[in-house]
Amino acid sequence: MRRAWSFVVALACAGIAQAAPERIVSLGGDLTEIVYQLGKGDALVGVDLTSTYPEEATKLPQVGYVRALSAEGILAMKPDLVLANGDAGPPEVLEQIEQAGVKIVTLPKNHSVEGIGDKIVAVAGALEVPEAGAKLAEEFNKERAAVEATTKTAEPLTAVYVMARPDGALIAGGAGTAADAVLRAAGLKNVAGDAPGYKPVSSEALVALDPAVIITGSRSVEAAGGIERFKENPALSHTKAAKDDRILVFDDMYLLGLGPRTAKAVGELAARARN
Amino acid sequence: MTGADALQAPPAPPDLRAVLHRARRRRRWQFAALVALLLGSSLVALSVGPMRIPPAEIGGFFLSRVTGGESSLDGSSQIVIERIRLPRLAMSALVGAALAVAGAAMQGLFRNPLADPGLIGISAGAAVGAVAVIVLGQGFLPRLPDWAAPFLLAAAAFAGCLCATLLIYRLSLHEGQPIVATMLLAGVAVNALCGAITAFMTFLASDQQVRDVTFWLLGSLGGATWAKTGIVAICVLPGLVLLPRAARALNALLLGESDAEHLGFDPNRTKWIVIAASTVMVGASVAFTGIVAFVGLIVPHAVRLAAGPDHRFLLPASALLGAALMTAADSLARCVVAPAELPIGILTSLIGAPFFLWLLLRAKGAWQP
Repeated sequence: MRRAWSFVVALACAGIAQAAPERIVSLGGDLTEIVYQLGKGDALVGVDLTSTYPEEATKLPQVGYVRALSAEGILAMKPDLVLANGDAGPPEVLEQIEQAGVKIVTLPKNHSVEGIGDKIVAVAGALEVPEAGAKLAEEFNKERAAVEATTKTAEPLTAVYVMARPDGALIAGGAGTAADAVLRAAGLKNVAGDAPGYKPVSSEALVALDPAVIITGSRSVEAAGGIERFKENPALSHTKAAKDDRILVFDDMYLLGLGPRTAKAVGELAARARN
Repeated sequence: MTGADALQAPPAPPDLRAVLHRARRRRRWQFAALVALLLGSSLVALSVGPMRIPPAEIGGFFLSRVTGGESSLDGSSQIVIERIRLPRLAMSALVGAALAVAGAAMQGLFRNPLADPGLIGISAGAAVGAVAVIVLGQGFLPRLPDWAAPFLLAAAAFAGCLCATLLIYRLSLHEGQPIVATMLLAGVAVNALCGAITAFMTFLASDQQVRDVTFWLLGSLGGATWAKTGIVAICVLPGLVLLPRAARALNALLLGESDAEHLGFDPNRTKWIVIAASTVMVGASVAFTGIVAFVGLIVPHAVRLAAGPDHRFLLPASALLGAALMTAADSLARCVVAPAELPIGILTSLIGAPFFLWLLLRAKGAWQP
């Protein structure tokens, strides 16, 4: 009798263990954000360098840069689930973690706003909370559709996302970047969208492109030494955006993290660009 | 009269045989100390890491492997020992030994204390290959079969280093003979050229690729697997045997090329052996671990400061010290910022530089190129 009971208890334990991973390592700021939004932040035992939101995440053990991970470091956290975005590597390290019997769920790289809903559903599936995932994804898609409805009818507006290096050189977000995806979602035409990736852009080129809106991250503004100094950059001060006072500053992860907050960020961007 | 007195009383000649005997005994001790150092650092490398595994249980695990019994270690700890720490240990020892031996031979060949394997284009050429794959590889990487993809970067880096070295060697030929001074200058120029190509590709790269490049340039043993370690062993071990056999010729070359020739050594053959062996050894090491700074330059100097410039001792001793430094650095690399990992190039310099300065200050004035 006693043996039968312990068998039942063992089965139940196994069932619970499978139902909810209790020690999660998240490799990717967007994934960490989704885990918190799904209410499973307590189960996180380690995050990568890009996991800067919410603030609790920054207090977790740090497994390092997502492209240069250490197998032993991650195994030492004794995880039962590793969430990895498409950047995680090197591949040998992921293989070693898998060989040690840890479940890895890799979410393919997808720099688009549309893909976020699917990402939420996939993460929720790995966390065994599909209902919460479906709800969060639905909220996200609803918010995004609302933004789209307002921007669709508005006249197209040219814009560019720039990062500033401390020496004043500017880097613009081209095709295939998160910046491009967010601009398009907000109904803005990315004037740097012809070339792929983040590319240095010369002052002259930026003046010639003459965007009506310039968007930048708070880190770039800090690097330049404040918003006033940032605006003094000759490449920026001669554009239409500067004359109309449409140089917008956003928190980097909030605007470009491609996580659950993105719908709100896109809505805010669309509103501030046309206020 | 005083002059005649001086002639009558020449200083007693030192008993040469006793001096040589003492030197040989000292070397034997130094060699034993280096072997002990390498063994010690290997044991540390096996027993430390972010995963806490008691050293006694590690010993028990190896014992059970030999006797075929059961081990008290759980599955993931066994994986950590067998597939992560052991291949890393082997890889770091091989790479450290290769860099140091090649550096020592290169300094002897060029009679230049600043020579290291990077001088003949090995690092810069490998960087061109590796950065090309990181930046331009996205187009064709997915089309490669699964087993080949992880080796593409290493293969490109190795090919890059062979091309650069071959180019420098060809440029240094004058009437069929390699001229060492020309080789030095050609090396400087080809290094600059490779640097420019790498920099241009970095300009083309995305943010993330730039970070990948930076990490590659700092070196890492994080991706060491048995397959990679095996390839490195095949490339490094023959060189570790071959280079010390050129020790006498390198000693003679310290006197100058014509003197070496009169002593019965063929300088051109020595040049060829040293350059070919160094390229294959260091090229393979760099291909799999990225650029590991400092070991090739400083380890030979450290050995010279302690034991003099005789290549018969210098070459094997450099191999041992290089391997020990590298395994120690790798142990630290995975512990100091655990669960993350520091690039090993930072640590080899961080450990090596103060150690070298200490030796330098201790032996001030006794330094020999």
